[in-house]
Amino acid sequence: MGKPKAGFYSLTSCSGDILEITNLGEDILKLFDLVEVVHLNVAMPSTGKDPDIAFVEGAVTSMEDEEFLKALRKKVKQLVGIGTCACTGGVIARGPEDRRNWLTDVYPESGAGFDITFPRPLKDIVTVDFSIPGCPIEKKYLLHCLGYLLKGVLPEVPAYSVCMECKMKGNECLLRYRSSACLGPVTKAGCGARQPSLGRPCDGCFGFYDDANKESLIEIFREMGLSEDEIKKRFDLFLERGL
Amino acid sequence: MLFFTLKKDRLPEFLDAVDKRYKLIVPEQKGEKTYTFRQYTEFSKVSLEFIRTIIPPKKLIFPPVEKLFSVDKECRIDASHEDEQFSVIFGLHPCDLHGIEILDKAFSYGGRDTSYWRRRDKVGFIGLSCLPDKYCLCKSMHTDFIESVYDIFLYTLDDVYMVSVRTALGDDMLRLSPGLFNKPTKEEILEYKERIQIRDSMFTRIMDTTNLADLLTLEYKNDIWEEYSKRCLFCGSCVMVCPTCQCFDVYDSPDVIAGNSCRIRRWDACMRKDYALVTGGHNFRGTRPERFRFRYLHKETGFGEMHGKASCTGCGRCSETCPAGIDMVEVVRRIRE
Ligand code: SF4
Ligand code: SF4
Ligand code: SF4
Ligand code: SF4
Repeated sequence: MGKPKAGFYSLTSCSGDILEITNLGEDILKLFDLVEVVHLNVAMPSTGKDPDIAFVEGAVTSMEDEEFLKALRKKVKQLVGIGTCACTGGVIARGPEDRRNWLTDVYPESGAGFDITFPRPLKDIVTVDFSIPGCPIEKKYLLHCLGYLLKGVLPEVPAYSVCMECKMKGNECLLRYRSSACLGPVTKAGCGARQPSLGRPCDGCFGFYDDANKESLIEIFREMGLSEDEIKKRFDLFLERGL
Repeated sequence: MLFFTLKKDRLPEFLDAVDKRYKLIVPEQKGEKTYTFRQYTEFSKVSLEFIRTIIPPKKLIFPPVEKLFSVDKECRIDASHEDEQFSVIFGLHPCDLHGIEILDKAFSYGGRDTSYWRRRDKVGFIGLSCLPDKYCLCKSMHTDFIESVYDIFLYTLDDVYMVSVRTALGDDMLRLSPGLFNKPTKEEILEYKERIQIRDSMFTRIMDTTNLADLLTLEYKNDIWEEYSKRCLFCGSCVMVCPTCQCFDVYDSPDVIAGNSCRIRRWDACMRKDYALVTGGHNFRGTRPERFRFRYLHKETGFGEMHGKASCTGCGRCSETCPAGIDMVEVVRRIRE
């Protein structure tokens, strides 16, 4: 049996997740050892071969995206969403449902003819075998999941809040000591508490964790003096749409 | 036990000497009001005034995430570990020393935990006296003094430290800088006695622990568990920062870069939803109030049943850290009502 063929594809996105893969540094060579990379958007010309396992970043925002994704699904054994846009629609799925007028505002001549739909996560269109959230994804987390996926096993992922990772890192709590509206208590771990470790509050890009007590955190934010609008914006950025 | 005094301005010399011989770990300031244990670099960075570090010294003996062993493609097991240097942790207050004593018990129950004891057997402790803040509960938990675990303990007086040397290792450390230590004078002994009185009167927060284990058990069905579980974020911070929380999860993780598979152990928390989930899908603590209550029961009741004392050292970390402001003293007061 040869090496499994893997493809990395982009739908509508900032390419941040594929860039994280190209940012693997030396470890990317290991990735090329491990799998036959048949497609890696941005980084290499496509081989034109069909993959066994597809990693897809970005949200579905056009009929073209939708058809591409459906066709890809038919070819592969496993389809893995990478990055929050693929998992929930991400930041591009914020804002109003109807965006037609944006197009005609920006492109008065041709805009109306553009093929766009409201940004949707992959799971709204096809069956997704596994989702790797993150805006962008965490290299370590991706490699961790890859180890399991290539063996055909569902990855072990931490089923707890970012706070637990944050504390394992020994960080000072931003919410407690700096009155910062950190979303760590309701957000799924996996990033190694990247933002709190750098002194910035968690924005929730991994999505709600399983047992998140959103109501209590909202109440705590209110007690901290945040307005209803500020609170809504915090939760709207990533969390509300759910994984 | 032997007593000496050490002039305060000679402490740097003593620590430098210890650092030359062992790997010295000291408390340092982290944020504006937070502290952490780190490897010693220079005396000016050592905090002598800190009350509690964010994470207790348990992280040095029982790390948050550790590899137990790895297995390669040929099924060869590699359980080797870097031979760690003997370390000495400076600045442990009585609560943290009690915390170590409790972990020692937990990791010996039913056999010695090799991974824990591999590190524990290679660490020494220099205790340091402290004055309580508004979260300190050690007096209520009867952990405000310590008579075991440490090798050396320093009581801060005006000009000197009253130094208690308890073990042979402590004696070895003293001998690294002969000439720094003197016999205590009558005045110094008097000052020591005054100091412990003053400290004792400084505790502002008292938790009535009389028959607490019984009460918690009798109040198993109290409504407050439900009430607090609405406030609790189940974030697990309280467990992570607790010097005596000892729970861990074990899982296997393929490492695609190293080309092997590793067995990892990682801190776990009973606040977590699937902590008590077992094969077949049954969850012994499937609801939030059950999970909230369990931490209290385990701290104050469960551990005691096995080891004869509560596993809360009163360090105050959980109350100081909780993002929801949940405070053990208040919970216990409500239970008593
Ligand atoms: S900084 Fe944020 S993630 Fe870290 S413990 Fe505090 S609330 Fe949790
Ligand atoms: S730190 Fe507070 S909010 Fe978080 S789990 Fe513990 S009691 Fe609940
Ligand atoms: S059961 Fe809970 S309270 Fe007890 S040691 Fe484990 S995590 Fe800590
Ligand atoms: S339960 Fe709280 S006060 Fe008691 S030892 Fe743990 S962190 Fe410290």
